[in-house]
Amino acid sequence: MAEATREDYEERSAAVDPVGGSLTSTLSIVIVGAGPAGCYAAQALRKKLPFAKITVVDRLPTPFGLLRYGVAADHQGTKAVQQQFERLFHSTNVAFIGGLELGRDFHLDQLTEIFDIVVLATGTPQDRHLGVEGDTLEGILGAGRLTRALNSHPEAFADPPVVSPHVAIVGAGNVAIDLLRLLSKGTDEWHGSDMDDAVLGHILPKPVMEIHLIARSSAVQARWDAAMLRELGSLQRPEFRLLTGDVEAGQSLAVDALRTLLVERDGPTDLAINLHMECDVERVLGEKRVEGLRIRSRSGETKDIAVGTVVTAIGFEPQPRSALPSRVYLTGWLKTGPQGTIPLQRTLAKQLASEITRDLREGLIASPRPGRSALPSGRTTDFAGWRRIDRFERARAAEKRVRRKLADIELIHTVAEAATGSHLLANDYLK
Amino acid sequence: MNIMILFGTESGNAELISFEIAEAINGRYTVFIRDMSDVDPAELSRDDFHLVVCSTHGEGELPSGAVPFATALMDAKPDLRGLRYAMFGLGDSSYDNYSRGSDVVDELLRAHGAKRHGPFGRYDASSQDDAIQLGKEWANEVLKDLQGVQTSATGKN
Repeated sequence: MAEATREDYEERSAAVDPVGGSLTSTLSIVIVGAGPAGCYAAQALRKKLPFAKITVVDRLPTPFGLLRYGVAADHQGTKAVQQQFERLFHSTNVAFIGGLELGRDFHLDQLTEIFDIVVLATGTPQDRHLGVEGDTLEGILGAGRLTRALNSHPEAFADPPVVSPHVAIVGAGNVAIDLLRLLSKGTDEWHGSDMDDAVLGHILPKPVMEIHLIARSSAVQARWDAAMLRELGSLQRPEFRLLTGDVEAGQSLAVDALRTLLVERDGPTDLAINLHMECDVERVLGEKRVEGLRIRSRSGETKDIAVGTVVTAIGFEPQPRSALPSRVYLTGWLKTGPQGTIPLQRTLAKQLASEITRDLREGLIASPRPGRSALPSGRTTDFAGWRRIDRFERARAAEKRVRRKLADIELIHTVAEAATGSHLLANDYLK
Repeated sequence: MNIMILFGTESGNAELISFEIAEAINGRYTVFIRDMSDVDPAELSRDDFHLVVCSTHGEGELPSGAVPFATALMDAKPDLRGLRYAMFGLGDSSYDNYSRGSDVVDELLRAHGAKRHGPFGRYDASSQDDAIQLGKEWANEVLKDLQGVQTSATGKN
């Protein structure tokens, strides 16, 4: 019933179906990638073309991509946009299919045969490499990989990385600050998050004692947000020290936030965070495993620092772009390259929906195709399955946590497929 | 009297809250929803009551969805006397300029003659509150106040 009333005022409030119902009622759209870019695209397309059948597929059995596996466990507020997408998948004409991967289960030319419109929103998940001698040694960890591991991503779960008590983080953006914060938190600083203590224990068998943050840029140029730095001020353990670079008051909100971090602690500290601004990584030291980093300051001075893990947070590799067949569109980082916030994806999605609507009006997309039902079958999940996973994960959350994610892909499927009466199963896996 | 809900959003959260409010009051009123980015403030009707839901972006800036609306107010300076609205702001109190986006829109509307009614609702992202629940409660309170005003006005006549 709620659905009917919603469409009721949606129709009153917006110019519905600008290209005519006769065409869009048979229109089939597939969006590949159920992360924020794909979900916002589905939302914007549903608004413009409310009668089109929209299918969002993801290679993972769970939806929401980066919101689930990229946004930090202690930033639940950032994950709030997920509520919009939950309602979207609940509405008529929008479906989620998890467990189907482009290139593995189907190819692009198959998709264009099955669907009238294909939107690719698979992002740019590959961490950028340092590009210096030694950057393939064991113990070098891309920020994306570490973030996914901390977030119980099924692929990271299979082979969880281990972080040494002496860590270098290379980068000067919000991703670097996210990881610095997550690695610095004490055991009682996770209230309200969905951090899995067992996963954290795998990744950090011993608490971190020393973090070196190495940034090529100056404190003013760094791309991190002041709010991210302010949040570091509430951490219990660390003492921050600025080893190279300047922080003059009033240069920017972020610099001022950084300055307030640089106070000596009253008591002893068991976690030193050393900030090396305006330093280049010259090479990674070590034979087989990482043993240290050689960094060079602007004045040309080099220094070796001993670390067992190097986390690279210097961005992501852009995907090589080939010519797109007609009726295929890009959105998200796949379109813009690896930069831009989650809310920006909403803006991109509105542009995409306008572009597709214009192409429809111009008659560029005409012939009806079979749509969703012609997708390859296999072990897939749907939105009802996700709701079961979601309930299950919330039900087994540890004390003061909001969720404990399932990381085993088999188990995720099992829970998704368990129809009613799955309490026996739940009992087996609770705790 | 119809209800026009106007949302100014960055990530879509203010939009979601607007739709939830619409669903909660639909039936009691005829409800319309518009994205502020598609609305010219000069065209707003004196016959409607407006529920404005506006978030805050970055360090206290307007959300991008409210920028064209605010710019139109500043540039075209429309006469909004007789226009009635209530305001609900979204923000994060861990920032210095908490909920500033809604304050900016509120100040602009009032500067051009519009009149705010009822309580100024706010949702704080660093609280444990449920934004949707708060939004619905705010809307109910605003509309209850409004009915009171209308009834007492009628009583005097």
